[in-house]
Amino acid sequence: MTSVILRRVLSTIPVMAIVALFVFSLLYIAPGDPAAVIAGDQASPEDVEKIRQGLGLDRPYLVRFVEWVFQILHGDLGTSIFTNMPVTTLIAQRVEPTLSLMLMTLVMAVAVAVPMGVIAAWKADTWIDRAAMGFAVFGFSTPVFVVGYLIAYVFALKLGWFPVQGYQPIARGVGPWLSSLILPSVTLAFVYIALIARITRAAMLDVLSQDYIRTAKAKGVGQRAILFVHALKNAAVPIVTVIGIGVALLIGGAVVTESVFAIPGLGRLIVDAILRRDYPVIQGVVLLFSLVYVLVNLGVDLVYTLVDPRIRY
Amino acid sequence: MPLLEVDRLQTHFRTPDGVNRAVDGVSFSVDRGETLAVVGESGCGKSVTAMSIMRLIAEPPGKSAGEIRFEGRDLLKLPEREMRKIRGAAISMIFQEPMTSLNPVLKIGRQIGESMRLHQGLDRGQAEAKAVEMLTLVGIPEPKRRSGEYPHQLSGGMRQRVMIAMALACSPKLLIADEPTTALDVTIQAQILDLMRDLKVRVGAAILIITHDLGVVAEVADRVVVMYAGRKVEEAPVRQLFAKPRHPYTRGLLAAVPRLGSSLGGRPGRLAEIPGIVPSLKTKIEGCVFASRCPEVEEVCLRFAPALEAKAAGHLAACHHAVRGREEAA
Repeated sequence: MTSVILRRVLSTIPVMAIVALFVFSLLYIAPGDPAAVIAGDQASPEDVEKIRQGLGLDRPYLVRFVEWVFQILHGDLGTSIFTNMPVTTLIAQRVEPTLSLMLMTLVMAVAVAVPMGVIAAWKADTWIDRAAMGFAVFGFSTPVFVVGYLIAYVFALKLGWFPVQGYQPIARGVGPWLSSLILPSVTLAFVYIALIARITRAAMLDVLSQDYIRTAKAKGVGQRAILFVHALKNAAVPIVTVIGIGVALLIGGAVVTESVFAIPGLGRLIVDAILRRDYPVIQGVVLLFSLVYVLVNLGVDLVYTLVDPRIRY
Repeated sequence: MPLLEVDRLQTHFRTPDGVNRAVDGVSFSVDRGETLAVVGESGCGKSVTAMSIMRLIAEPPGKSAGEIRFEGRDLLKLPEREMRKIRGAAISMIFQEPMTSLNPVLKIGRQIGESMRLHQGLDRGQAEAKAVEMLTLVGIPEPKRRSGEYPHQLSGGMRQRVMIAMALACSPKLLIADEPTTALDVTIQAQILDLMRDLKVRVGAAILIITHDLGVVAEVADRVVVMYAGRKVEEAPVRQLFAKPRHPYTRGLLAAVPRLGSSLGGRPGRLAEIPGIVPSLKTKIEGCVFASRCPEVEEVCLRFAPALEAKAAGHLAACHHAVRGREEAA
């Protein structure tokens, strides 16, 4: 098992290398110029060119790429063009809110979506099923910012249960931290719940028609144990898969959610960086997100072996 | 009082194009320690009968009516909670498909132990120890190791042994076996039948075996119920049924059994068959259900459904001319 994990971890290296090349190239061919942004509207082309040379942006693509990769391998993601701070420092400052948001959303979504999908499958074609799946379609098709503003309006402005905006670090206490995270997490969880609940329902429907479920019933097993022990474990592989894939949704959604709720996280960092063409910051954050995604899905692969004894690597 | 009395059981299914009368007024009984075989071709309602006794018919679309008295209690009237206490304890079931009837993600030992934990209140450790005992009983080598394995690590024959161990774990009074050997190859079939016969004596269970295989019937049954198109057409002690079948359908079934030598000897004979197909169960049949395929059909058969009548002691048949037909043939 350890050799498997090691092998899989090593196999993420080429993936990350391709991501790095892709991110770098994409920014290279993307329009926009940080030098022009720094120089401002009044600057002459000569001034812009001078700044560009100062930033080293006039050198050839390949040279810059090799240099960047060399830096990364030494644990250095470069320096922000605008703030002159190391990208690693910028990321470190912003990582807690985003990580908190994503984890909270993940826990909340799984806790709601899996039982919802299971019950929808059990009560297939009844109003309970239709209500759950209707909710899922609604959740999936409503943009994050719409849900976010609606929820903020009702629960923060009207009812005043939670803060409207902002983020409280966990260091200032679990209570304020949770309370600042609830609305953003609920917002972000909507899409995720919809996705997981639908897959859970489909996987459960398939499993519930299997012979071994009939066997379990014939043994006198109760409904709850049939659903959550005999069936859910068999349906787990697609569910776990979609939870892993859905992390991509979380990353994308976190960017928007952080804007809606003014959370100073990585999402805000990357949006600001993109607007200013702050290449090192963009590259650093995208690389980090990719790494998270790859690692989560590596985790998913390993979870397979826990839920299904027939899967061995 | 017989252990199980199925009384005018009707199990119907609502389908988009009409009501499917899968079981239509079937009665029979099983005594303690007895082996009753229910035979008939595919779609005759024998499996639905078994599922109805276990109350495992999904409702809707299915619906059972009539009475199923087990030790005097009507199972069809029991609340689901009470029924759950009977399933796997007093009545248990073995299914046709050993390859798919075991849960692929749970260990064998746990699956066998589960009913004992549910019905006998054993804790996990006790149940697992009992599961190993059950595996020994059904003749699985290295039972301790096997109980820690998953179904995909076992062969088909072994899985059916596991199913039997599971079914017998709580020493049921009635074991329903739905085509227990159909999916197995012939040598394994014989082993499984031997095992069932052996365990029946040890546990003292009555067996209701559902099969289309008359070879199996001859080997294990005390009495036989022949079903056709959702009805019982004949019932007799096993020797009598084979020696003196009263219903033309039963005679057809017996004639259709391939016999070694009959086609290998001098003239390559053709296997006898019953011409025609089972009538649709969605239309109400006037007259005898078998009339459309019966070689001895007469005017009366098409008009009136024949009643089940005793043709000899313990021998019932639903045929207008069951006795005469037999005499002519004899």
